[in-house]
Amino acid sequence: MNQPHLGRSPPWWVRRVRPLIAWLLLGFAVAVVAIAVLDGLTARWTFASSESRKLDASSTAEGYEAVVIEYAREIPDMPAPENYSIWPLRTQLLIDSLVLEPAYAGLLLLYGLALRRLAGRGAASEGWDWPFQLMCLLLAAGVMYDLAENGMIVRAAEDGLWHLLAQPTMVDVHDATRLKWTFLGAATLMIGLFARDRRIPPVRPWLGIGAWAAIIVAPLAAIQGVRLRFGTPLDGVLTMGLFVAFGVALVALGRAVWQLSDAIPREAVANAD
Amino acid sequence: MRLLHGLANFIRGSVRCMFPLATLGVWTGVLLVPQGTDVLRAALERLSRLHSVGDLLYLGVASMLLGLSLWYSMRWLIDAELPALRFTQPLSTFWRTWVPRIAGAFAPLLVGVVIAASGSFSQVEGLYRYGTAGAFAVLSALLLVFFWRRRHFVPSLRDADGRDQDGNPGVLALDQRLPPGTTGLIFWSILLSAMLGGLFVQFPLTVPRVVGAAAIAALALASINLFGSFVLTWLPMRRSMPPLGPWLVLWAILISPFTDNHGGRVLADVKTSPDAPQTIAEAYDKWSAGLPQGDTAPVYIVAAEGGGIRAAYWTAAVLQALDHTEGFRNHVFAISGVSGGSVGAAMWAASVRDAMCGGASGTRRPQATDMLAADLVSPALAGLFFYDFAQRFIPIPVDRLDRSQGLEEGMERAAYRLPGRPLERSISEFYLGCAHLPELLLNSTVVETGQRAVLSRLGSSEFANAFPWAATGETLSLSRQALSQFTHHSARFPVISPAGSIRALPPGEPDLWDWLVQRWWPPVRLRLADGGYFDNSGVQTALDVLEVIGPAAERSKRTVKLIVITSDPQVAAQCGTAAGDATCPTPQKPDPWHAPSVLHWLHETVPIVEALYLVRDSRLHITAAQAIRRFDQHVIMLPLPTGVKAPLGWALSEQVREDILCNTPGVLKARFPTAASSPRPSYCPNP
Repeated sequence: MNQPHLGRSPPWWVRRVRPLIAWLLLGFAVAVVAIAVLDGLTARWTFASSESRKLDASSTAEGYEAVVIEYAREIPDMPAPENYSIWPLRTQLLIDSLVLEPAYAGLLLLYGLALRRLAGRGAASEGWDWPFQLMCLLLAAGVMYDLAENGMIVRAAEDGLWHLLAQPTMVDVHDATRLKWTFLGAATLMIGLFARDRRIPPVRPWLGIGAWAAIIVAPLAAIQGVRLRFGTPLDGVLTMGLFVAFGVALVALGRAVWQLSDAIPREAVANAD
Repeated sequence: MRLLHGLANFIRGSVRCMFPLATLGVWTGVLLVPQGTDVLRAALERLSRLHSVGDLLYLGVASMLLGLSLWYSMRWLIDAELPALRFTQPLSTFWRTWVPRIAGAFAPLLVGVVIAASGSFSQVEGLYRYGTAGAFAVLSALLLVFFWRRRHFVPSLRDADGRDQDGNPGVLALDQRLPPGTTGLIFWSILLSAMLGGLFVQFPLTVPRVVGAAAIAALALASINLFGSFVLTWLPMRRSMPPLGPWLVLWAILISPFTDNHGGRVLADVKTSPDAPQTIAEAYDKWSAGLPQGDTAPVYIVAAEGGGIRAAYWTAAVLQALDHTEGFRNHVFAISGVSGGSVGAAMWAASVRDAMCGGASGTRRPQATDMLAADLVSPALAGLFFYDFAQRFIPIPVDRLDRSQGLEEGMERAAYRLPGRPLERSISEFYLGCAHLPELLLNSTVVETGQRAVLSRLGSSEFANAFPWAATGETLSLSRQALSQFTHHSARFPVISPAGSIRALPPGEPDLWDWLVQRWWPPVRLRLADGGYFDNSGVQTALDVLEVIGPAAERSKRTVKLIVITSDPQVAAQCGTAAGDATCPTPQKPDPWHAPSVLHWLHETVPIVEALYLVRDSRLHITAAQAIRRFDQHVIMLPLPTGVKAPLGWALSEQVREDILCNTPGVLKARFPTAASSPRPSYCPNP
């Protein structure tokens, strides 16, 4: 249909950049919502979100213990740290373990599976799809470390209340954190590589954006896992950036998979631009 | 004839399903032993008191996975044609479908039944107790519904394993392969089990504590059942071979000389003091010289009896309470500990070390009972069921897979915040600059000779028939082990802890070949088992100490008193209200004689084990009688009150810990009124 009132189409770079900006904004929104779910839900139960970040930031047993005890005393009507007043922290980590972890694991699994199917790989007749199985293995390892990390944080907080927290326990917590990011990063990298599979019909830029975002996110996550510690403003920025990048990658991949699998008939996909 | 066929099929089915049936048996045993019940109670307490659902969630998931593992394995073991052991006639639908389903649903149901029916949970608030029991019952029902209606929920399953003409599940014929989904499921189950085992190896303390002892047992049983059922039973029997389980056991036995990974860590450097005493007499002279002039207060020797965490916590609680008596700690010359008693004694000595050695006052330090509140059983179980279990089948000893580290590091981390981290030091370093600390005499048993091994910084020549360490003529790894390891050597609770191997240390740096040989076949010189096998009271060693220091004490007009801290229910029953009084330890017959029950099982073997076990108890009374004679009635028996139901094992629920702390003053009031009148915790009911 002729639409003269719309004028000329925008230049090529605007066409390229606009979706990128749109998806960045959407990814940011997803990241914010995720963080809000994590911290905001518990905030109304008097647990200040800044406290959770301080807990993450304390890399020494003494520091962690100080935060736990300080936090425990902030709860009204709590007579002493021995009275275990860390249930908001428990709730926060419980939500993480029961809701967020299955959610991201399920999403990554779904994307991985859908991308392999789109690429025509993983059919029963071809036997085991080893790259996909490897991605699942990395993802499972990441989830296991994430679950372990959550439990360790609660136990460490309890030890802290009783003045029994040992530095090796804190080292364990940080090791679990790093390995979680490393394995999740590696799983994301594999999904990014799946999305670059040449057998997937080249439709829309979304898949490309998602794939590249995932490929960029993965080393970031791995770096976060191997080297970075929370506790400085730079780390905080990188952490937020990581959330955003994950959000972009997930949303873009999700959109692309949705487009390619359900919403658009396969014939249309095959003939798309 | 039909009955005979049925019986034959029952036997065949039992052999096919030996792993699932054994798993069910072990799971039942784990939950019904007192330690298992107390672990469940601890999980329930975390819910009711701390609002922590983590332990129960892990247990729920683990028991569900165990149920799935049992159902899945039994289903394939019964449904598939196994030429090695064919059924004489086709099994009825009930056996093929409902037996696996019931077995699967039983796993979580049993947890609920134990929580609802066991008297141990009577102090848990009803809402939490019956709510949790109900939740496990619902979980069991959901599993049953899933087993029954899974094809209804998941359409793709309708064609996966097929049905016969009557709509019953199809039998997997010999020419049929396992469906790819089933292969994948088995592969992934075994892989995830291995990953979980790896996680336990990487974090031998923290992750087991997160998962919890009962959930660890369930996960381990689920993994072992899957591996045993499919790899060791299904695969060989499908190929007309017998099950491989017995062969694997034979393999483990044959390679066992090369799987001893219980040598323990060796400290890189151990500091010693040239003027440290070498004998009890020397030690007493130095120690008594540190007492104030004109002080004639009695000297105490403490014997801390064995009995797992129950004895450990009771010993710590008693010593902690006695510490409220002014000057008590300065008048304890030696503590002879056995098993759990050693753990309690070492924890108490570590907790007062800083204060007795000129440390800064005012800083809050954890008390011995605080440190013993830690969960020591989960790490030990994770090792027992996962990584140390795997070591039995690997013919190269890997020290990292030694489950001893769970208990030893557990104690070390509990005492981490004590100044100087005393449990991580060697016993000689423990006394550096602290000459007045009580001498820790931790009793163990030498497997090779049956002798008592007294682990201390002193020589063993003054102890009657104790293992002569100097006679070995070699530098042993024991000389470079930490106090936590010494304590563990004394407290090697059967099954939970293995016997500890004491190795010879090479005189110099070994060359590559020697290193490789020693790595594969370590030079083990002797093995140490729990001290309770020799004398579970610790009184024998206390008597030896009295023999040496008695004359010197008499010269300085000091009375030597023996405090026996015991958690033996028999002693408590005999003492009654006389606990803490001199009349308490009057020697009596060990137990009223009773005829064997009408049904005495396995009378070829059980009587031997039973006799050995009861002889040990009987000897307690003989040594107690000797002690009364030798100590001239200065024996103070402090038994754990009979009303406190504490399990053997390595973890106590909060309720039991509170019961112990609340009952301590009552036991002490006869002889130590000051200690008994110290403030009681706020949660204790009025006496």
